[in-house]
Amino acid sequence: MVKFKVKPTLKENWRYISFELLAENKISEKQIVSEILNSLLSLLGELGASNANLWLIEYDSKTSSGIVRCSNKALTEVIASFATITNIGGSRTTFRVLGVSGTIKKTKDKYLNRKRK
Amino acid sequence: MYDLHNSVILKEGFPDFESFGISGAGVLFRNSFKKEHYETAKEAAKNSGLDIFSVLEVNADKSGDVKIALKNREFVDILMINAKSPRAMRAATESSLVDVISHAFIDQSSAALASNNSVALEINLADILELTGIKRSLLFSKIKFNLLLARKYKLDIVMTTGASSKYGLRQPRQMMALAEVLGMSNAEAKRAVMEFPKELVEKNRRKHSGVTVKEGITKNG
Repeated sequence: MVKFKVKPTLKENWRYISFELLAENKISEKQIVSEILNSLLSLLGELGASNANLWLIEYDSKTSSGIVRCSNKALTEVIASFATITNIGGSRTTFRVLGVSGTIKKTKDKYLNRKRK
Repeated sequence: MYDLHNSVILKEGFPDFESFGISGAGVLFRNSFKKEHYETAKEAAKNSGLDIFSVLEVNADKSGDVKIALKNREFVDILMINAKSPRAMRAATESSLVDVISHAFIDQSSAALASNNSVALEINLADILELTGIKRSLLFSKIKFNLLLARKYKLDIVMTTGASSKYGLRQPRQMMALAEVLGMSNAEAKRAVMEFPKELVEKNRRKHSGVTVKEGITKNG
């Protein structure tokens, strides 16, 4: 893939949301990705979802926790879309936001490692 | 956060409320208040560290139902009316004994009355979650109209989870985010989720304790 050079002022400011999943059954990474995107799409529409630039960075199925990346400007919308998730693959589910940070390293140190200890 | 409208406690006990950032939760009774059940829940809540209070939600099809509901006023901390007709809505907003109108879709004249009698409107998250597609978008437009009236008549808004199981619970942060997506400002969302529900419970407790007769009037001693 070609990488385009962008001026620092035009760079996207990312926010990394660490989350925890509470579900009746075990849920795969693939199911989570599709459900997160679907909920965002149904709440905000195609145009609104395009502003979020949502991406699942990692998911640990043992602890049912992971990190999602989104644009700084659409943070509220992404958290709101998490609140609308009720069901994944037929099992009742709820998302819990552990915290938001500006870098992956800090997100892991602050929220995920603390939880995994 | 104080969650006024959830039926989790009577169904599932006290599942991890603290991890969701919920410090107070209502024990919801529908149509009739059962004091024994409330006392049992209160006793069980002592170890959980959760502040619980009684909530009575009455389905009112006509204005007479509201009058019957008001008889239970002195026994419960929060009285909610689920008005299913415009007449019931009018009767509910005319009484200052009613705290909250649940699942509210209010009209302009009722909004003016609700403002005079300090009746708050509820936005229930469960109502939003159970709908999808065009029905959800219609619900959003009704909620947005309610917000418009609430701003005009300075009505208070309560945002509740409406959870019936622990999977229905949400964090205050998520609730606030959803309120902001619906069109509230950050300050309005914070008041609807974090501040007003707690204020309402504390105000009613002061009234029930007998020290406060009416807002601003207290007994000596």
